Amino acid sequence: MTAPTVVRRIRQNEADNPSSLVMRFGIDDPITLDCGRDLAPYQIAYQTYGELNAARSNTVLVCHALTADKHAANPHPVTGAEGWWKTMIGPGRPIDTDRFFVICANVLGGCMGTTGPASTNPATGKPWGLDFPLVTVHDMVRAQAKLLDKLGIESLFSVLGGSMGGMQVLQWAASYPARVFSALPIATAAKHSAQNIAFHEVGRQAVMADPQWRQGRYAEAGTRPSKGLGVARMAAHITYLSEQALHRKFGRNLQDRCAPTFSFDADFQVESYLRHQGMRFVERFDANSYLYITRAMDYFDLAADYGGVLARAFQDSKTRFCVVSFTSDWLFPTSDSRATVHALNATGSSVSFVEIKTDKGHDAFLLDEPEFFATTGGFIDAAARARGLPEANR
Amino acid sequence: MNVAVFPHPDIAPTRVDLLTVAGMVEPGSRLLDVGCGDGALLKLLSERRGVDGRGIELSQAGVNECVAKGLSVIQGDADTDLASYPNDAYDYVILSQTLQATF
Repeated sequence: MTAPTVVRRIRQNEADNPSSLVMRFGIDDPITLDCGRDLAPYQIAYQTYGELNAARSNTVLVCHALTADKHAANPHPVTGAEGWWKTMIGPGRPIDTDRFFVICANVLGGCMGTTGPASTNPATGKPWGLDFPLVTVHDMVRAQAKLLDKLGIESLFSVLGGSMGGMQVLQWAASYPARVFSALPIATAAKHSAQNIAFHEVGRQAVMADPQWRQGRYAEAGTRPSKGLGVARMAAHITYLSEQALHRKFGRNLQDRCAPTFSFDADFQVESYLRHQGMRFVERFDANSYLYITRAMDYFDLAADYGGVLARAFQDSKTRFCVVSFTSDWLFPTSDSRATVHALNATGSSVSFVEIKTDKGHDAFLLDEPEFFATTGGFIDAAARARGLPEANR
Repeated sequence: MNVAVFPHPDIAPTRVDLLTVAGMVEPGSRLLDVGCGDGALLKLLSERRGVDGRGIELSQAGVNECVAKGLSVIQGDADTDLASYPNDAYDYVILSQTLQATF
């Protein structure tokens, strides 16, 4: 068996039988999606860290970004990489697992165990592919709410996440204000910008232009659109960084050579780096899932559901908000966060806002940023005091 | 002036002005502190006067200290950001030891 085959089998297994907890919803318990279709049966794969307290008042819901998954603070079962938010979640960390019960669920449309296009369609016994209904950020949040209902968790101490995770945070605060005690939308926006939709469309076209995509039925053909998905990831990865960070890391340095080769080899370190990012990504991610989730982000426009007035989404909200942006993030620039803050201010909501100085771009929320940890940790600790949860033991 | 706010363990004796300001604010009122620094006054006001206080502060360090105190403070520049605040949202706006930058 060749290595790619092994990886493919592990991935298909993760889509249907993930290495995590799974909540299954039967044919009699459908979720009604924004597109008008009912989805049933379906399942939600999730991880938990820490313990639920007797009062059920210490749950933190972590919402993941576009290509992340539920493995926020444990090694990834396919790649072995560390949890994507291990810097934030753990004993003594801002999301302190000694104090909080942390839940992170794979989003609807994902490929790591929650039902999505890579999952087996029970009607056909084959992967859903493009027969899977289009899902929205609101649908993802509806599914999470269903999971919490089944877990018997009515109220969330905090909901937080970056990028698309932040969109879910805003949707949670708008749709279920009484269930959300505190909310941290990080490096995100209340609507996806034209530029961001444009980048996503480039990624989707790269996937669909790969002959191996086969109109989304590549799994049955025993192939994968790895080239297309890899290119999509390369383009997207640039948007997660910043010009300064690229310059600092690579400049115009050459890759393992002293002079240009006068060819299209990866002469430059930055090219080699991007190719590597593309290759690593296709090992763990499903191409159709990438199409669906990028689409969900594109459709996100929270104000549109409230007569075009964002403030109405947060009317009479008692949730404590802490909005965070990063100076060098050009994908979700500070102006996006400020628009959210202005809307929250207009409704008299309790809102704090911090713009963290960094040259690491959009991905800064995943990286070691002491000021970011200080802000989020301080906010969470203060919210925990207001909630009457025990003090941090650090 | 309500003398109940004197003395305060978190307020340095040199910042008796904060106590004076606090004494001038009606309990339970809505208040915006422009240039709230580390949030000492806002915290005093919310604890001792029960105000619904908000702050705006330019420095990241200041905002972080405020957020850690559980205060609602927005990092921003009063010169540009006050325009986005709704009218009649506050009973008091405090400008305490805040200097507008001059060129």
